[in-house]
Amino acid sequence: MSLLDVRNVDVFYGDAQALWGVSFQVEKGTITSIVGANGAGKTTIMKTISGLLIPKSGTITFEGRDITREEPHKRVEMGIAHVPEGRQLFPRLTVMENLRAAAYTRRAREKFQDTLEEVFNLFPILRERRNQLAGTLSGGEQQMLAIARGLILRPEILMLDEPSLGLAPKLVIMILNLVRKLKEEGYTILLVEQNVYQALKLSDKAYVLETGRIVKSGTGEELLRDEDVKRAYLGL
Amino acid sequence: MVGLDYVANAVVSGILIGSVYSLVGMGLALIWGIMDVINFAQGDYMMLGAFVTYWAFTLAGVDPLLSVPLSFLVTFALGVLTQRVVIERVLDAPMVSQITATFALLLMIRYGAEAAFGPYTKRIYVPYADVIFRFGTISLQLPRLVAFFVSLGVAVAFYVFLKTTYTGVALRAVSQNRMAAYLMGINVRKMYWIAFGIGVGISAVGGTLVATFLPIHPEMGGFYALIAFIVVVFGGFGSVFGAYISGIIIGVTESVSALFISPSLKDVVAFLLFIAIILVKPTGLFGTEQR
Repeated sequence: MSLLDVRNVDVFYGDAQALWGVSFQVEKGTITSIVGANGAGKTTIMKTISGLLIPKSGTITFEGRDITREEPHKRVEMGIAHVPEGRQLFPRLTVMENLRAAAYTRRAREKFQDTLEEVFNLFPILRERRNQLAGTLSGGEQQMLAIARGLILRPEILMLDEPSLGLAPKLVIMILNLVRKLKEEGYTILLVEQNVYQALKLSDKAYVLETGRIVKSGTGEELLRDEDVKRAYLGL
Repeated sequence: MVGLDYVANAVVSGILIGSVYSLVGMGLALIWGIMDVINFAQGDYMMLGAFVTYWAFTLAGVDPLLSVPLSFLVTFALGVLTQRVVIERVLDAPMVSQITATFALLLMIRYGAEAAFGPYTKRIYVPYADVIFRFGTISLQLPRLVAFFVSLGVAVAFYVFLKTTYTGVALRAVSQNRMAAYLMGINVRKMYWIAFGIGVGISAVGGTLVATFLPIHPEMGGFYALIAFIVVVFGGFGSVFGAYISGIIIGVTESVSALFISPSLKDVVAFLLFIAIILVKPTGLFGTEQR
């Protein structure tokens, strides 16, 4: 049984259909990526899994439970963490308060002190800046804080939406290395990344999304060798 | 010529009454800041607080100060109910619908109270009403002094709550980014119940305090709501702490201008000050950004 099983999901924004019969699975302990052009529906998929959007039809099963219509905060309590595109920090809360805001669920709060220590070891700069307002951090630091908040949630699955967007090349590499490291520590990761080559290299499994439909899937390596993928996303 | 001791007296009594304005304003600011809803009925929840205290005193002989928690809890419960039954339905509706909904609440509460309690002015005579303290040339009525300290205590407690508890941090998180709050596992709907409950509860404590030294009336909310609006805009929209300071500034402005100009014009002067500040600093005294 897959950790996350998305089946035949149709999602609409008003009358406009954004996802068409999307199906895919995420296995425990793997990195799964969704690649595709802007507007293909990658963020929509993530929002549907975290409960910000409710599909018109189809089902989402997490650890064997149907969560298709579950409220967002209950999904977080079950272990679904979504680090959204554009960081979405609480700008007028301090770094520490941002992390505490993520420790609201019982699941996160019980382990908060331990997780906090782990997170600070992973991102020492956040420990230094813990009393600074999140809105005053640099772009890279803000992304670290966004991921740190996701880790505080003690997730079973960590969904990262464009974690390297808008960062300097050096930081992009740092974030992608971090994703690999998190997998080695046992995290399950669902990744949306504009950096298609890097994402596919990292991924155990990947899905190609085009205008709301999944058109291809395979292991990261398979897709890296795929002629269509090369032409459309890698500029080869 | 007005003597200096009169001015000192006016300033002090302005601070004391201003601290009550602060509470009514803080409640309004909290609801506004967290939900972006303007609660026109805020003053009427304050009136309910005053009447809880009045009836607890009249029927059961409960000292008004002891009814502070009672007044808070009763209106907190009513606030949660209001949120669930009314406000929740218009949260994402156009602003006009929100205004209409809270204005309807105002009418129902105000005239419901008038129907239930009669259109009469009521007064609590506490045994210590006429105890007066003198510090040099300044004299203070004990109930007003007590009101100030209770108000300060409530404000400090509220500040500590927002800063140190998980629920307090979650409330602030919701006010800054609702979507991110959902993703952090915060039950946003429940936060809104709490925000509305605490918001009207704090204002109701203001009502309780006022009842110890001023007459109360089912329509008293109108005046205080108006003051609360000045306090909130003045303090920076949605800034709870700005609201506390500006409540006191309004109180002092009123009482000093009552002394120098005319008691009947004191509210006019407060409004003029308000207009002047808004012309110079549209975000309010303590506002840093537009929401």
